[in-house]
Amino acid sequence: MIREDEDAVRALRGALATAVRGHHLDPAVAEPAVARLEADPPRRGSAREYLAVAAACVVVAGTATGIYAATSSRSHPGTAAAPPPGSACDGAVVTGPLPEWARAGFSDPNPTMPHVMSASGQVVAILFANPLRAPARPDPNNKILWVTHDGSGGSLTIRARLEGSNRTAVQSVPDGPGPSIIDMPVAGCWQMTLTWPGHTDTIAIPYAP
Amino acid sequence: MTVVAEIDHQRTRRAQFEAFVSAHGDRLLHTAYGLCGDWQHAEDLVQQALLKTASRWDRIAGNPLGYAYRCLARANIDRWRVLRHRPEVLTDPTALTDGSSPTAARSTAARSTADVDERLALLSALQALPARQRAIVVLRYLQDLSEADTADVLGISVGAVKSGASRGLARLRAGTSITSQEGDS
Repeated sequence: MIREDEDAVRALRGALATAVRGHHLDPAVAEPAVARLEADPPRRGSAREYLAVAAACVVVAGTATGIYAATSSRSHPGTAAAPPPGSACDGAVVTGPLPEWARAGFSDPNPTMPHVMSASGQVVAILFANPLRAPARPDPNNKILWVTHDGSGGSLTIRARLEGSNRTAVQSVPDGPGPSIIDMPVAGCWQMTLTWPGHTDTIAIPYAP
Repeated sequence: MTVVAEIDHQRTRRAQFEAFVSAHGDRLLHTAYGLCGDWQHAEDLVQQALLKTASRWDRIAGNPLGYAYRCLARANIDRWRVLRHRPEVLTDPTALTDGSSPTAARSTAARSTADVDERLALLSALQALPARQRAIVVLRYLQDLSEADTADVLGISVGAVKSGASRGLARLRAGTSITSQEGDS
């Protein structure tokens, strides 16, 4: 670039920087676009497309939440306290391919996710953060996707008892089994009784501090 | 995709889109202002660009910003074509401002130095460029897109970007008092 052009670019940058100082996008400007996005059904894109958009948004804002893709679980190794041997939670969390009946909705046809199987093997809790945390953290949050083998649904009630204590907690997932945020008051192995219309099952899920 | 998964995916893409707007909204607004020289029109351009970006959100994959730039530039070129037949001439250079309001700009200009005059002259000269040439200058030099990315956004060849940028800068220089301090070339 010739010297005169460099000077012109420098001057133009300075002029525009001064002109735009203090001007920010009014959030209302984006509202019609958000409404459009909500009105349009998601396109059944390829896994690559979904992951690329997700990755781009994580990079630009760091706020994107997980999508149903095998890479979306947020893992923080080295900070979790492993359940002690003999605990109901020992070895409960498996990071591996999901059962075939639990793969619906994932863009990856062979999703690998941390998950916990129920005692009967008829329910899987798919963890979108590993480990889950108690007390809960905002990012990643304690997102669990509950999937039933027979596809049954209805309001899900979770009655949890902390292993080795009398401490209990109750959570409900009105639209469950399905996606949920399940927070527990303290860390430890939580033995949960799951109840939804016509069904009951048990599962043990560890929460790290 | 199951109903549950679809609902969750909807939430996710909304969060992604809002994160995109949060991260790039100001940049898009400033680019739009560079393209059209008017804050109200700039907001209109951004609104149009975001609408189109939202409607193609699942298809623009890893480069939503590039697509939004393209929408901005095209919307402004369309607007320029309309105005060419119904010209609206900015007669008050202080309408191209630092500013918040024409009054504030006039006040600034009143106590201005030659630098302020040059800045206003530059912004006026930028707006006097043909719309596509202006888009090339704004994207290439103000948003620092590469020649290839600018070409891709505007749907033109790299050669056209090079010649458009060169002519645009020459016209900016001709319309202002910018000269090299050392006078060489």
